[in-house]
Amino acid sequence: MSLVGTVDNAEKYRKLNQKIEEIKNEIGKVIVGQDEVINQVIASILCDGNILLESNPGMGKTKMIHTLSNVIGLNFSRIQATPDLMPSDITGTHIIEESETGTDFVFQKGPIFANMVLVDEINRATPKTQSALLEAMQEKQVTVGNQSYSLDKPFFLMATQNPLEQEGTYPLPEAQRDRFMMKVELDYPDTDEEREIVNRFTNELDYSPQLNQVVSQASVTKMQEFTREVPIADDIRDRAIMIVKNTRKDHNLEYGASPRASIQLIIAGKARALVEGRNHVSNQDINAMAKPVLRHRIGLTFKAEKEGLDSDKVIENITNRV
Amino acid sequence: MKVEKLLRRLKIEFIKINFLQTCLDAMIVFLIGNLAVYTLDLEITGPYSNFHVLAGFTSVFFLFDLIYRVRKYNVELYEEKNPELNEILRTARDNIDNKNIASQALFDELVETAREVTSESIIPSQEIIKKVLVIGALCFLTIFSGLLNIHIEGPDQALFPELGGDNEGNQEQEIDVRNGSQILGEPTDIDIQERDLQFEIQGTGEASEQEFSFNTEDEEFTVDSTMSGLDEDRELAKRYSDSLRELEASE
Repeated sequence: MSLVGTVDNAEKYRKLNQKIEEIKNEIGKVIVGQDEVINQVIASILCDGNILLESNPGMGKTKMIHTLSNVIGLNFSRIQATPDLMPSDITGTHIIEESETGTDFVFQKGPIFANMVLVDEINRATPKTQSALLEAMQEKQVTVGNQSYSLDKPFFLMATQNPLEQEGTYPLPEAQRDRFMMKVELDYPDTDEEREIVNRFTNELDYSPQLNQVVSQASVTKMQEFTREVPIADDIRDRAIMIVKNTRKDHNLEYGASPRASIQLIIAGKARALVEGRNHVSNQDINAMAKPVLRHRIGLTFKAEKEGLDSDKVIENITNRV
Repeated sequence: MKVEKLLRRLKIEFIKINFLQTCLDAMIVFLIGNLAVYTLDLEITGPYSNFHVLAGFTSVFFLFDLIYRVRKYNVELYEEKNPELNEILRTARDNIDNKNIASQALFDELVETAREVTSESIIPSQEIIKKVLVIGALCFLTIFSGLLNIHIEGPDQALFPELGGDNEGNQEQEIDVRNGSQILGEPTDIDIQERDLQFEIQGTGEASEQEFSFNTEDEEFTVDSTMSGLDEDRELAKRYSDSLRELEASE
């Protein structure tokens, strides 16, 4: 290995870290606080994973995702899920198009054909509509009729759900929850942050600061490839696997996480290392990513719920134990 | 590659430190053994001397101790003592074959960070000082016991008798010879000139069988030597005795 080669590697790595830092700074122009959530969302993008965002209304979920799509130069579309939303409203449908040569069926693309898709209140859509998203999330393609259409790369689906109003909702089935790489929970901002939010959005009629596009679509794909290359020590990898395995035999859990969770916990750890500017996966990364990756993949027993435990506490106990 | 060299260097430094530790351990073992053998007046029998047996035992101990210590090597030892290398060394070791940018960046950082890392960080200084002091104390005791000729009454048995193989028989034989000379005293020449050897056998007990009937009677009988070579033997004994006398006289 020549000296030039090693300098290049270090330089490339430093540049990548710089880009990620710039993305965070640009998002920070609009979003106040929520650093951990922003890191998790960026990590999910680097992992080419889908996100389930859960928070109370008015927390800036849509704003955050929209801002992020602008900064990383991706097409953005938003779907508001309602009980009468049909799968074809998402995927698109064939329409009759009249031309000089005659009439023909032409596929009219739905809002799913974007790089970043935000499905607001996904649990308000019927199971039939929710399942229409499955193929897009997993296979990165949609099938209408007997024809499949590939989605643009990169493709992210970010779904939100409101934890308060559960009436008239259709909770996501386990199979679909497992398709989401992370479930990110937004918490209320502290007083200083809330003061800053109020100042920003009350002093101007339409607060929209100039955002710079930091990376291109192609760069995002390269960054995703790069994320997979972040080295991890064998014992740290084994520990991540053991954390997931322990969810399957914890007495507080009705069911544990699947092997897909092991894969995604390790990839999420790699992405977090990159976001944190580290060139290797640390145990801290695995611990930090355990909750968002596992919390929607496990089911508490009735006894555990009665005792006041929640998914996060159980995961925390497991990570401390392993 | 630089990182491979680095990992090799760290291992060699670990081996060097443990070689030193093993040497000290072996010296302690040898000195304790030597002191015990001397003060307890133990004798290692067989074809080997005390020194050889102790040296052999110490060499075997040295070898096994060194192997045991070297097998315990892992990079986590360096990570424990150098927090800045925590997880980096392990990751580099486990991804040594990776050629991608991320791994190379990690290796570069590791080489840069590990520049300051030397074997000093993993030297158990206190342990080594203690061992050196123990060696000093043992040397002093050995010299002291030698000068004052200190011997503690120990069991009257030889160490490692099995080393001698069939020496046990030889030992018994030796004891028999010594006992015989003690009982019989110094051998003296007998005057056999013109003398008949007479044996008197007195029988006791009851007469039970005819062929031994003569024993029942208390009678004296003479046995004359009729052996053909007796005269020659007498002559030889006489000459031998004369030669000895001449030799004593000449001294």
